[in-house]
Amino acid sequence: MRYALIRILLAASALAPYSATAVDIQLPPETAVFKPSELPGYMLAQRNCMTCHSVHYIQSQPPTSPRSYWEATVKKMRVPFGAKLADEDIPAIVDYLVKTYGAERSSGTMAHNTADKPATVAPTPPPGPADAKALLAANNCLGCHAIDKKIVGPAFRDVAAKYASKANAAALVARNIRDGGSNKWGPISMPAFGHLSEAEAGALAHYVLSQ
Amino acid sequence: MVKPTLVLTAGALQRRAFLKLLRQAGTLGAATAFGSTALTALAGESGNVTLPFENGERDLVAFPQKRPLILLNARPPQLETPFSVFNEGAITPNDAFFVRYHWSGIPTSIDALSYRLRIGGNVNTPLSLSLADLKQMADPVDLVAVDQCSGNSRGHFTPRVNGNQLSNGAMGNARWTGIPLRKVLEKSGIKAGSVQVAFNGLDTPPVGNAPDFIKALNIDHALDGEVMLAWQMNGADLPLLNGYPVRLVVPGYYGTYWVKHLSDITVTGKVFDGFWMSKAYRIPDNQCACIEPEKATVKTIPINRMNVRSFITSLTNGMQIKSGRQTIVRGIAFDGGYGVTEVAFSPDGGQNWQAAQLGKDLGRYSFREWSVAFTPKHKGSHELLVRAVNRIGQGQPLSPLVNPGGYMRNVVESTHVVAV
Repeated sequence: MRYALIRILLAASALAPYSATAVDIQLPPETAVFKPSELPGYMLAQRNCMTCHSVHYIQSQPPTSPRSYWEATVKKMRVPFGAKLADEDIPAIVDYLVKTYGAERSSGTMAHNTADKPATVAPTPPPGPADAKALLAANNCLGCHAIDKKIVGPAFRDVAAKYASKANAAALVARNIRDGGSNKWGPISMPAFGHLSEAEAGALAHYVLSQ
Repeated sequence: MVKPTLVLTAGALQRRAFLKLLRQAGTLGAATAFGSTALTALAGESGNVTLPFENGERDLVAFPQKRPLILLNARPPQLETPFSVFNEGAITPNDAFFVRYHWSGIPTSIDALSYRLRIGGNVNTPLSLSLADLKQMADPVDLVAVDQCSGNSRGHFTPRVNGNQLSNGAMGNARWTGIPLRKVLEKSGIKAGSVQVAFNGLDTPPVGNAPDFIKALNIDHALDGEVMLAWQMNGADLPLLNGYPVRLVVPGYYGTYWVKHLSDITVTGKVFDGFWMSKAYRIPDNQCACIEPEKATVKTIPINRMNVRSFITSLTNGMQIKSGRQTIVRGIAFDGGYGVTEVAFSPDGGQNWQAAQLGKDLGRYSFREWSVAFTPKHKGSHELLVRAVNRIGQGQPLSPLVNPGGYMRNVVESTHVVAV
């Protein structure tokens, strides 16, 4: 049924006279998340690694991967790959990675690719009034965004300015947070944060739009 | 085989994706009026597979213009073709063709009218060509050629090698349509003393100072008349994730050179020394492109021409066949462009070999289908091997050759079946 639908949509667009001059795609939601851990490197990995790539690269490596591999790889991310990693954070990140995905795993931290779904293990805040700042931290929004300057994604102030004149700005921004988005701010797509409730996405949207 | 809990999850995701599709269908109607074709991933998830090595669990996910493929990485997209596709014919369908990017800054919206390909550097006349310019520059040519990732099959090495943990699906065979790169370079006029040609695409690193993905070919290679600027595969526009609107096709060479969304061609007066040529995708500079794991360093060169490979596609490990009854075993073989001339099949783990019959010849850069009749004489386990030889006598090793990057795996493949 799904394929039939897109064929119809494509056929419809092909019928329009000389219309198909642009191709737009929307990438599917990104579902992989880091395996929660008490180790200090857990939050650091969320804050740093996911700015540039999804967790798959990490979780699909051979479980035998030794500490030396993870250390060399994290350092490669800084030089030459340009990650803004602080020197003092590297040992904790390496420690988390090798103990969660590599040779120093304990049986309790076995990681499997298809098991780490936000639906079951995402660090979602407790129910209750959604606190935007807690949500920003829990979802590592500030890895890619800042209030007043572009990092990987746009500054919150620029988002607020862009949507200022729109009546349904909060709903639009909340949807972009939950579904992800692309083509609005440059070549880097925003991953979908589909595990957020509508209330949580709404709280974040209000926070962004009030900057 | 699929766990009930995962079925529920996939079902829920599909419902959500379907609702989203309906929403986007509304948007699509509006967008189409302005000449845009919006394409979206239809289902969030469509099940999962387990590749035959530790930690080989993968989701099957349908990306835009793609059927559900094996998801290695979501951002940037890296998708592997399920191996069963290779049993359906010598040509890999566009919607099943593998996807590999290096940086997460990938283009998700490309307007074919405003697209330009720039040719510059060590040339007499720098050019900026539209898609229409390119299509009018010369008569289009067709070539069937295999595009294979340097690290295809890396996940099968023992001991394991880090990097993308691929099974055998990071390869595909398509009919490419375009014009020879030489036509464009000749029009631009290459200055004397030029050494290489560098190729950049629209994909970019997510953070500013990382090395852009740029590849280079020696000038003679770039001018050989076979390296192609292709805008179609299998008679249709390139899917976006395979390089729309134009990609480089380097017949016989690993996919790392087949730069997608080609935007800049730069003729250089010296060897291009960017990261992706001088540091990454390097192999030992010897006959086997291999090294003993304990040996520290060896002189390296950029990876280049593909070696010989062959696969059984009609039978997979653990499959049951009838004892005493003839089975036609089928498969594919290919190499780096000399052309496969011989495929041999062993029904008994390598004690005896028999020649397989080669299928239709689609050109020396293409998959070559083969088949052989096999009648298991006894019940129980049978180890089936296949090996190919090309026109210059290159074959496949019985045990894997290893290099630090886990590139160029081409060991003789083994398939265990059970006769009942």
